[in-house]
Amino acid sequence: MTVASRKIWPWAVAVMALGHASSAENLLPHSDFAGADPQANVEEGWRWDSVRAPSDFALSDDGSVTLTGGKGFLRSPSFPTRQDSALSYVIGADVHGRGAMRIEMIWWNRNRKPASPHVEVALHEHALSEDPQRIEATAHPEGGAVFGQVRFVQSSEDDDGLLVIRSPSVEITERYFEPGLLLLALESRVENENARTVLSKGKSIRGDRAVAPRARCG
Amino acid sequence: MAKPHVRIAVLILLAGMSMNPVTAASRGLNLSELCDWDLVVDRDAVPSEHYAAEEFQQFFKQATGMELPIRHTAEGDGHVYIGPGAALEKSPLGFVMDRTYADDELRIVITADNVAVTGGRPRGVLYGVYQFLEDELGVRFLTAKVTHAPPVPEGTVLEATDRFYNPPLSYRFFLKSEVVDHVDFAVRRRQNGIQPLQIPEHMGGSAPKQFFLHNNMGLHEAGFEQHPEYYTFSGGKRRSSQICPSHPDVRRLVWSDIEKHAPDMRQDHVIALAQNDAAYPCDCPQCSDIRREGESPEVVAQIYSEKACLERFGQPKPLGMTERPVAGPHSVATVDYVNHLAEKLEALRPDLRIGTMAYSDTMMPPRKTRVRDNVIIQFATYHACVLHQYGDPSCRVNRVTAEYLQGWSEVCDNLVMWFYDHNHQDVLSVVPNLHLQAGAIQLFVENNAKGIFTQSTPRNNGFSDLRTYLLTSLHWNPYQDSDALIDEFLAMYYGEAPAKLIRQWLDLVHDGVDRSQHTNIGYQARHIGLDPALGETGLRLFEEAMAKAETPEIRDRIEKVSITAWRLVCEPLFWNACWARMTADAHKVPLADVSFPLTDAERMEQREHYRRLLALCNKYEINQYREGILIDHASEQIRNYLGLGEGEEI
Repeated sequence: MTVASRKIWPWAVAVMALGHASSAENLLPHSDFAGADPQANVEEGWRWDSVRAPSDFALSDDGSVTLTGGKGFLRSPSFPTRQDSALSYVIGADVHGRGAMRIEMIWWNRNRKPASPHVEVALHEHALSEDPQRIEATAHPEGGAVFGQVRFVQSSEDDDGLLVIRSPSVEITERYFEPGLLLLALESRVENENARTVLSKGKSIRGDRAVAPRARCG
Repeated sequence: MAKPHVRIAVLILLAGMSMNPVTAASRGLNLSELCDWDLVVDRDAVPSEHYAAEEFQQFFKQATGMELPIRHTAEGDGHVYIGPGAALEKSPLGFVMDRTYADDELRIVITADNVAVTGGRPRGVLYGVYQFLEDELGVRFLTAKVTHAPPVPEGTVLEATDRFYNPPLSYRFFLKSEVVDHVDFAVRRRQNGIQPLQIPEHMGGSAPKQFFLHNNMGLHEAGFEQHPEYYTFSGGKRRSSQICPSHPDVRRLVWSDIEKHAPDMRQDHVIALAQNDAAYPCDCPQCSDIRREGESPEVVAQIYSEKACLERFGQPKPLGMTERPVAGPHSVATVDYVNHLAEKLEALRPDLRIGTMAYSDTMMPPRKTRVRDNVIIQFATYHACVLHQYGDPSCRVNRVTAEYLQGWSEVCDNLVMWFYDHNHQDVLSVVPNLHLQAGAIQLFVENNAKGIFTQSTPRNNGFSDLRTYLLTSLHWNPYQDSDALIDEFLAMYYGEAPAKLIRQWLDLVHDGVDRSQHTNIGYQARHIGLDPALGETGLRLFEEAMAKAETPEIRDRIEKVSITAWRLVCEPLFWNACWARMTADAHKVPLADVSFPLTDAERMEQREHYRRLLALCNKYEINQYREGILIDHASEQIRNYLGLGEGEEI
């Protein structure tokens, strides 16, 4: 996780009641899990990996995935980033279950090699409840990240964990900078834009505007 | 000792030689008539053919006293043609250029009027010269320093012949300092894959590398902390010891590396994707599904049930496995992984190949999954029994080893063997398997082995020189008679009289082994029933042999191998000091139950023997008693065992 995202954690991550009202584009392909085969050994697509036994998963006709057991990963197909440090990636999903979950972003560079940083914890260990909730977290890739993937981590100390995921999404919002961090971000932004300008002459550098996170508390 | 004609007969019979009609009716070649002959090597010959002519000239002179001049053209008869060229083409032996030869293939034609030693490039012609020198003149390249080139008796006539030989193992690498530190000797012993030195072009160059080490199957990015899912799932959790070969991200990352570097790789390079030298192969659901090779879980579980494994492999946990392969052989997932990458590689660089290991948990071959043509499987015999022949029905270990090997040969056309010629727990003793090595290598060849890497002892240990001679001979032609090779080496290197005594020692050790035991390459004399008292007999034999040595130098050679007898004599001390405690702890038994009972007088006597052994090791620059472990380490443990005070000499 970046310094900036760690600092904004209290604002950026919020838990709200089922149902979200965003009209922004969902970058996540196949977010309804239709036709997904998370056990298939294919490069793209949803992928389930057992991390600690017992561990299992199931796809439901209602468009949800259930992870059970000690520890397992559900990794999304990849989506392209906008490579703009003034943007936030808001990861959301309707979840319920037992035990705990975590949301991580996996960032890849242009060559599909690990970007730096590669794994960003967007949502730290979160205790699950039987009541369905919409969970959201924010992540901020560095400039070299060209592709992203979401990794849902299900875990349970008692090996009886349960995580039901429905309607996962990744949406882009303008980034909120905490006071004091804005200048640093602007410098970084200008450096990135300068580099981009060299590559595509004639394009102007856009102005920067700090925005507050959208209210998510239900 | 094998007579030259015997060896020729073996070559003709077993190595696919053909007789040209011209030779059958030809007269032989009287060597004494060669005084006005010359060596003809084409001006445009490759460097190794010029070198071949020089090697021929040098050793021919040693054997016959005649120095044949090297020329680039020829008129009339009376020539030894070294390699192809315009002069050979125009000569009566020009027919040898009507076909192409493999890289290491040789052809020797002898007539009364001309001789042709030719073959493939870049090494065939050079090897042809060495073969000629050995077969026709009795030259033997014994060690890097000692070449036996006996004077050829007056009036010796070489039989007319036209024969060729292509070694069945196209890649040959005997890993031993005695070989790899002396490139010229390595080449004379026809080892074409030595490392780390590259064989220079004028000596034929190195064959494309077909030996590779453990490298986590090529995954160098995305560590365990960030991506446990890329690593093996074993015992119910992810572990960093191996990768998960079925994971698509792992495959993508590794392919990305290959794709980046492949354009710069030398022709015919083999890209190593080898498992780590560790247990815990992947049992994740995806790998398990691949390993079932299309069968249902129930069917596979039945095939590898405890009862079935017991019946088929003689033990519930098959040879090499850390666990019973309830979802099928782990090698299937490995092969699936390399096949996937090899298919992509074929489109990018069809000349390159991928190499992977069949070792430990992947020793058991797939039941159905075929290995792609551009994949090499390096089968390691680490778990095989060194006391029995492969396939010996009385040896449950090697019966299974042979079965595994045969299984691999059914799904793979390109096997390279990782073979062993040492005891890594005791490098000072005789390894009592000299009579078994030929049969093992023959079995490799008969099961699609195309190359061999043999790992041996550190410098100077055991019977280093003999084993180097034997194993490199067998690498070249595994169908040679081991006994004859051993006897000729002993006679030529130590002298006829000492050779008999040394041979007696070797036979005593080989006969003294309790063959009801089974062990892989790591054991102590005690494990295989060798009686330390046998060492005393050995010392007497070596004393007698040294007394019969013809020169001080030969006496030293004998003294050097007498270390093998001293080591056996010292077995009670080595065992009690270095191994007994560990064994007692492992088996949870009292130390006395697993120790040699020694009286104080016997301990003193052992101390004296060890002192002598140390002195000999110092004299002959031997510094290890186990592979990679210094003798100083043993001395420290022996000092402790003997209760010696600080600063007190052993």
